[in-house]
Amino acid sequence: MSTYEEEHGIQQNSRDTRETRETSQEEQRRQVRSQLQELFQNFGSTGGEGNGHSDSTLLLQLLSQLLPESLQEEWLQEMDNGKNKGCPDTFAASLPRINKKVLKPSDNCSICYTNYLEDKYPLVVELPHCHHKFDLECLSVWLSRSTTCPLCRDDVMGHRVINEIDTTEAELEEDWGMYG
Amino acid sequence: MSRITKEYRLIRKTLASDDPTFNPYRGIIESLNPIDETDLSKWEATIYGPEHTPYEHYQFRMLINVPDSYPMAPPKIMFEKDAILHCNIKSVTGEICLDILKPQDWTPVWDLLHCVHAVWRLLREPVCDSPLDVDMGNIIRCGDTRAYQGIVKYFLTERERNNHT
Repeated sequence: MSTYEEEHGIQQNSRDTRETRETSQEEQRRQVRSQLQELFQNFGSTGGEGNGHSDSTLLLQLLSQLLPESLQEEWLQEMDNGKNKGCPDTFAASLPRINKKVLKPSDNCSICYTNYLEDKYPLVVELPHCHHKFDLECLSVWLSRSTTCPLCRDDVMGHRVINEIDTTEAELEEDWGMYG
Repeated sequence: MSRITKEYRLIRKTLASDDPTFNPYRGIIESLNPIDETDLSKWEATIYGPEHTPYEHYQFRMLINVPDSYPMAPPKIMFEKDAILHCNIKSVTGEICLDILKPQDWTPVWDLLHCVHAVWRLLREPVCDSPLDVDMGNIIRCGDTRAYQGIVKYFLTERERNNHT
């Protein structure tokens, strides 16, 4: 439906300007927020280091008085998440799958607490080195946040390079044999 | 079925058992249950004060928030406000400083029973290297166990008296 202004070819001046003013205000607010976040996170990571930064701790204190606690917590968590990044997406998918025949009825995934054999086609993978088993689905979510085994904290990224080179070379050789 | 629903079943079965091999939490966890059965994101737990500590013979209630991302993220556990005095607990808020409940040390194989048990162990073995309550931490660090026990006992008798009036 067209508005009164459109039908009569009149510009809706007053409303337009109000809207643009509102959006620019929102834009400003967003800018201030991101600037504050940058300040907060920068100070947080360098806080109190050396003489040059002695005034930054004071500023941080001021900032934290200004900001609501929930926002501070959110930003701090964001910083933590940036620090301990998980494994690349391909890692979990590249892990060796476990044959269903090897699984015992009592075996369960220690992340979701479900028995593997409850599923008709269980997708179970084993971590290199520590050989702990998990549902592929559960483990990939965890490995997107962390690089350690949930059970023994073994650093799973520590033992993978040799494996990868081996498989690619084997595939290459096979191809050469067929077409050579 | 979600993991927390599974846990709820397991917790009920475990805590109802009198067999110590099946229920290792006897004398430790008095109760652990959702506040409202239809909402498994908010839980409450009551633990017994450990023997041979000033917390013995008292019970402590805590509130547990289970985030949507649980068990990939840890649960948030708080004591009730002004209900306990301990060097790793901020008394006025009930906030607990315990490494396994921090995102960087958490692992998804732990469950709520483990967490509540770990808080109970914290009451038995205070960690005074990184105290939330600096004054309590200093008293322990000085090795003044009598002062520590005295001050906790005084706090707890006051707490009981206020609850009854």
